[in-house]
Amino acid sequence: MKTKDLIQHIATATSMTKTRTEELLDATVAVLQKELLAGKSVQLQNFGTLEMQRKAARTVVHPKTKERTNIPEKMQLAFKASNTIKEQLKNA
Amino acid sequence: MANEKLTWLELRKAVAEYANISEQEAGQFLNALLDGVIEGLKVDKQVKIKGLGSFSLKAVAPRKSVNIATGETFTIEGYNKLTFSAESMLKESVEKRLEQPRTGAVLSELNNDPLKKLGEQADEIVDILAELGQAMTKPSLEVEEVVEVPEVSKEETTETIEESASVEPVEEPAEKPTAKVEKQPIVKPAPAPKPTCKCHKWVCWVIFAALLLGIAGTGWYFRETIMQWWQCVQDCQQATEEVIVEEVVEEPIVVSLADQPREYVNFIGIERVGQDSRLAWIAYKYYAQKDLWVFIYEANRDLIKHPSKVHPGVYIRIPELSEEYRNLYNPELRQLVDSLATMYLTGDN
Repeated sequence: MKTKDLIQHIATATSMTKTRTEELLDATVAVLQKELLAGKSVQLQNFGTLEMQRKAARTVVHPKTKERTNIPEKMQLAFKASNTIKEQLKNA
Repeated sequence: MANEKLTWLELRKAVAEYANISEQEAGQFLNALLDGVIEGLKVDKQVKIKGLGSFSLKAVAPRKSVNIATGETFTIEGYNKLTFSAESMLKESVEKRLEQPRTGAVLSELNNDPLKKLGEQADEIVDILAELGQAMTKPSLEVEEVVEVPEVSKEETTETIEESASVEPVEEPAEKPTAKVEKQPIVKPAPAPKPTCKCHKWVCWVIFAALLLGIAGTGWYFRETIMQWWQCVQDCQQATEEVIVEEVVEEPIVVSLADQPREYVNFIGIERVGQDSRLAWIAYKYYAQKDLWVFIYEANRDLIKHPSKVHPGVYIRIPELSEEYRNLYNPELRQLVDSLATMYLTGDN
């Protein structure tokens, strides 16, 4: 499902116009981006949590050449699904 | 980092403010959005949201596992896992949010070369150790070697060659550019120190010669006593030989167990033969040797007709056996017992 389909879906569910839905979706995404980049974790009810995580630096070994490389630490956007959604989608 | 949480209500409020709508509307929209996402996941297994990323379902196959408490195997059912991957634009901006790089990043900046392999590191350590060892051994005698007697120096040089052969291959890999320890120019491995070796050898020779002289002198001085002792020894040897001969002669007299008449005078007990009794088990009970049943049989010839036909209710006497009749490690006795057993069992008598 692409964004377009999602907007269509929401529009029919809430009986809003597609343009209005798109605006709201954009607004939501913008808010999410802003808050996430500010370092907050965003809780989506009954869905999960989005947050920025620091991944520690680590050393990897190339199995063939035995060459060891350092992978520096980095930030990552991580998602943790809630238990409700896990149950819902378990056998989807 | 990420200590602050944005709860659902706060998110609703933020969205409402951003889009200039009431919080209720925002809440409705957000709910619809999440429902739409879930619906999309159920249909397509993937939902892309522009500007954020994509949620997708990944199937996890069922697998077998073991209950570590009971050791039972059971299957973990397969399920769908909800994963999220951020859009590349968002990803980049997230990565830029990295705070002051910590140790790992610093190291990577300092040293952009691939890290050394384990083997190389080991080599380096060996090099460093070798250098240390050299520094310790170097100030020993190089001069003395030159002065030394040819015989000794030959040995010495062979030794040093061996030593240098063992040291040099270690030294070569040390020239790696990444070596952390400052390296001194390679010095030819100093000859192995053999301090005061020359003097020692002379002293040893002198002592050896003195010892030889001493032994010779004492030998001369005590030659008569030694001769006497030698004769005595020879006599003794002859004597022992005679003794051995005597023993050999005596032996057959002692060992003829089979020919000795066996008389059972003393008894150590009386056993009532039960329903399932066997002579062998009775023997095992009293002598701890099943094979000795033959003597029980012999002692009760009047009561038992055949060793395998022992009638229940019969009281049999258990004879006392002397040590020589109980030691089955004695081949003589073993032979006797076996022959008796076959004789009685075949019932020839």
